[in-house]
Amino acid sequence: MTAERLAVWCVSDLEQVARVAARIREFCTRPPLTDRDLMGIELCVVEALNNAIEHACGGMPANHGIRVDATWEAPELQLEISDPGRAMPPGVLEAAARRALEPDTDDPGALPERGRGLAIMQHLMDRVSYRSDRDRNTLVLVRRYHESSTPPEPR
Amino acid sequence: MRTQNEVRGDLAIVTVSEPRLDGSRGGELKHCVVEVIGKGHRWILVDLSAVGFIDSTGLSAIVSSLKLLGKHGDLTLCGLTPAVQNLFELTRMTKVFRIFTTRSDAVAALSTRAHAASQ
Repeated sequence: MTAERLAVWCVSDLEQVARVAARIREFCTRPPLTDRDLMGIELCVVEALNNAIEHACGGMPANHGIRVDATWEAPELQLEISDPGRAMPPGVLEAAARRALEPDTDDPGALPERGRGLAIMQHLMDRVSYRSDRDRNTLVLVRRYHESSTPPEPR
Repeated sequence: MRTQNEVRGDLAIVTVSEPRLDGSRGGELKHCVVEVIGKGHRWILVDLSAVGFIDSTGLSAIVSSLKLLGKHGDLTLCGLTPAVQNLFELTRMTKVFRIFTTRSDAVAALSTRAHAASQ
């Protein structure tokens, strides 16, 4: 099976996020992916770009380029979101993986207001990894889609 | 952010007219709710039926708005589209918020409750 690829660039500006996410969603619109799958992919791209723009590139000139690479090699989708900003501190990804998306309904006042993005991506994807070298940081999201697959249930 | 505010008795209704409630718009919703609270309203219904996409930043704005009201009021939601419903289910926020399918259902249920609570 030949891999199909799409690369989309944007500057570090939250106003760019919807456009990039729409391009990736359009690329992923193919069997066997369902509307629910596509919603999950769009959400993951948006969350990854938000993090890159706000946390990695926050405070830097907006012309810093952020790149999203999508690779479809049936039945696997790989998304790579890379930025030239500050690296994510060690342990953040692992901590998000341990964080259950289970709110304390007895005390709404204690609900966290931020910090759900990485946990959401980890719930929607099969694998989430992160690497950082001298020039760029790259978040890698991988998910396999089968005809009979159903979206993972929240953990 | 395009919103419309309406008052029905003790209930304030905030209708979000944006197709996306994301990182570039989430803070504006919170600001809008703060204004409504500042006018003395404690029972707020947010109509999300025009919102086709929400991310964790948009969700954060809604959670933050709920927390602003504390125990002296409530923030209820209606009209969740499939993508919005998916995020609420994924983050289990369906357990935190009272959610109505339609605006008319929400208004019917909340108008009585808001009035009783304000007495």
